Amino acid sequence: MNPAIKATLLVLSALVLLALPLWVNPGLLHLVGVTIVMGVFAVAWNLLFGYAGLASFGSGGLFSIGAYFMAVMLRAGWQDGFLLLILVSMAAGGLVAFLVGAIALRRSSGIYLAILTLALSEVLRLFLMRWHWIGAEDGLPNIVRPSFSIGIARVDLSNGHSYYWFLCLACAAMVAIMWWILHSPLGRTLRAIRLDPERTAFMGVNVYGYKLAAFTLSGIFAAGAGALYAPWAQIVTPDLGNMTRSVQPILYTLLGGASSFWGPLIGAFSFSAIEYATRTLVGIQEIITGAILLVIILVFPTGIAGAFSRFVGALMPSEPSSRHGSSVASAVRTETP
Amino acid sequence: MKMNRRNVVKAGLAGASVLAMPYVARSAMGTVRIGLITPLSGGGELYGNYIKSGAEIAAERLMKQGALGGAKIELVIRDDKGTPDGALTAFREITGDGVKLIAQGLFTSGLLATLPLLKEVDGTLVMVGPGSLPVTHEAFTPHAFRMGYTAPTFGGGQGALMAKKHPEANKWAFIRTDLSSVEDISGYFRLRLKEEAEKAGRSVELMDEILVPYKTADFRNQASQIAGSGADALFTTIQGADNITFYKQARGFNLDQRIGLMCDSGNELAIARAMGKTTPKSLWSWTGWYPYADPDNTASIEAVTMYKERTGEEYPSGFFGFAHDSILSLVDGLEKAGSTDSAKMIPAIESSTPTGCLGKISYRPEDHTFAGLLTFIRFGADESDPKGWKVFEVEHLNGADYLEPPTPGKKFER
Repeated sequence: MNPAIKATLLVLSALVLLALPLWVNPGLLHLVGVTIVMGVFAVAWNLLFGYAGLASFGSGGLFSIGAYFMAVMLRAGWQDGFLLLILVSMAAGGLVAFLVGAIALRRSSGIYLAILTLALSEVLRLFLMRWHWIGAEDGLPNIVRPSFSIGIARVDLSNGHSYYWFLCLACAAMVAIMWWILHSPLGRTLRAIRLDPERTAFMGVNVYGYKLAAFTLSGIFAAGAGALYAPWAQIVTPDLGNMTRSVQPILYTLLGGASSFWGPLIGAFSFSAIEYATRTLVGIQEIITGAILLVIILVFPTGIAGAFSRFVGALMPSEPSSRHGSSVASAVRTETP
Repeated sequence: MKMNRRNVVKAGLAGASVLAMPYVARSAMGTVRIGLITPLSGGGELYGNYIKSGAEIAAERLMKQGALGGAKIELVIRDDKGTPDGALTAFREITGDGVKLIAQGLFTSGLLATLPLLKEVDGTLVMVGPGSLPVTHEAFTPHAFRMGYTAPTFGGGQGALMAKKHPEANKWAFIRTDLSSVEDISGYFRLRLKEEAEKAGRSVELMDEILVPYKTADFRNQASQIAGSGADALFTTIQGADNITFYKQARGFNLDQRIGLMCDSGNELAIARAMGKTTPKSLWSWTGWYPYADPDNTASIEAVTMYKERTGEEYPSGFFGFAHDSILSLVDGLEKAGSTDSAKMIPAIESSTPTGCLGKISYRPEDHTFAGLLTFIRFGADESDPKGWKVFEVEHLNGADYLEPPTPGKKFER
């Protein structure tokens, strides 16, 4: 897609998101906040799937590590170190992902890796359900939105919509970092590994090391999303790490398009929009949502992002980048595991 | 003040306006909107549908009766999908649209997510059916009322009832799901059973609990262990569908023949509905609501008749009754308060005792936990009944006698 169109769309989307609190219902605003976090979580998952060719079904566990860590610390009164807490949450998620990946990636791949990560995530969830100190099955409610000092000024995220705006900025920063990583030599090497690991190894690339790096990075950002989620929802429960949570980024990625960096975010917003629009159709909501998703995935195998790229490409056939995008999309479609 | 004509007229007008205030408020109400947040998809869908039906029928009955000066009662129903996120989205949406009266149930996590927000939106909420302790203890807010029973209340009540009714049962076996949420049910049953037996000068032997993981499909070892234990009574606290699997597999060991007294913690007629003529021959269970418990309770009989006309089903779950009475509490409170402001609604609900499906509705003022009647039923297989099962007897206890002590704002420690 033409970079100018892409930049315009990005700026417009950002402006709309930032202006939302001024005109939407608080319920919709809450849902948008959750969707933004889930979108970042999905981009982090696609860092593994769409770029390194690894499928994890246990990313919900890493999300819940970040969320629980933040919840415990904020309830303990560590509001002043909020920004540092986000970084520590991310480091904790990255460390766990590194340890899991270091063992799992040596021993398994494909569906075995997916099942192994799912099992580990379930173990974590069961552990959280039984640990009374962190609320066991009821989880931790009453998580405060922090107020902290940044040296020259005091930032109060507890009033009005300030946490929403902070959430937008923090998520934008995480997405920007992931974009930068995936468009760096590291990202290109990961793509090469996904397309042909044997050939990449033959070229002297440490395939295991790169996969482990992707696994760790994905864990860092999944936990970061969880850390931002806790003060937004103001409650964390063990269900944050359940299979449904782990499947959400997969669904968003497939819906939005695994071949596009923005695909998971587009998928997350599209899914939430469908759910919100059908919320009053009690009893048939799931049928309608399922049917829409089925149609989108069957008609647009490269997801909404791929379809949109093709649409723009068709409108502007002379645009060289659209031809390139299309070929990458088709490559991903055939090669994505 | 002088007693002249002008002052008499003034005083008369002032008095008349005070007396007329509630009626003015009612006629101005036109439509009263009440939010209903419950799981209508996912794991809690079955119970959520009962809650929805109970609330809808309550609204219909109250409108027929001309409650709130004939105002239309509109339910704003939202699916919380059984998640805190779903509950928060629904709560913020309906309160953002100006709804201040809410009924919400049944998952604790959803309630724990929304309770802290009630003050901010000046809302009044009735919690439909939750049994967990935190909602009226450490997470207590004066803006919320619990329409449901806690584990110490119904578990303890059942223990006391069994000790009184069955002095012949001296050796008790226990089996329960290994979840902390059901630990107190069994724990309080044991406690009150022992206390009541000791009061009567008897001693009972309480065997160690057999713990089973949640979502287990094979209970044959445990059933065999109980059958061979020499116990003459059994208390089962197994969650959801696992419970049906347990009773089905227990048939292979003739558990209902070998154990003289079988008790279930609260799965009540869900067991009979699922098992039909293979239901154990006699089973005591606590029930949130048994519609035919009191033939003189017109609210209960009318509500279940309307439900039967609508669905053909004769025995809705207890959640139906909880939901019905939650709406009744809110409407009755509004009738007395004349305003949806929580400052007026809270004392109105606290002081009012309308009669609903569950009998007289009252809440303990200290922590707003429900203090109504406890109902227990004994049912079992019956070949003479076309359904294959029958309810044999009903017992009531005063729930207030078995409430755990109030600790609003603090965690309750057993």
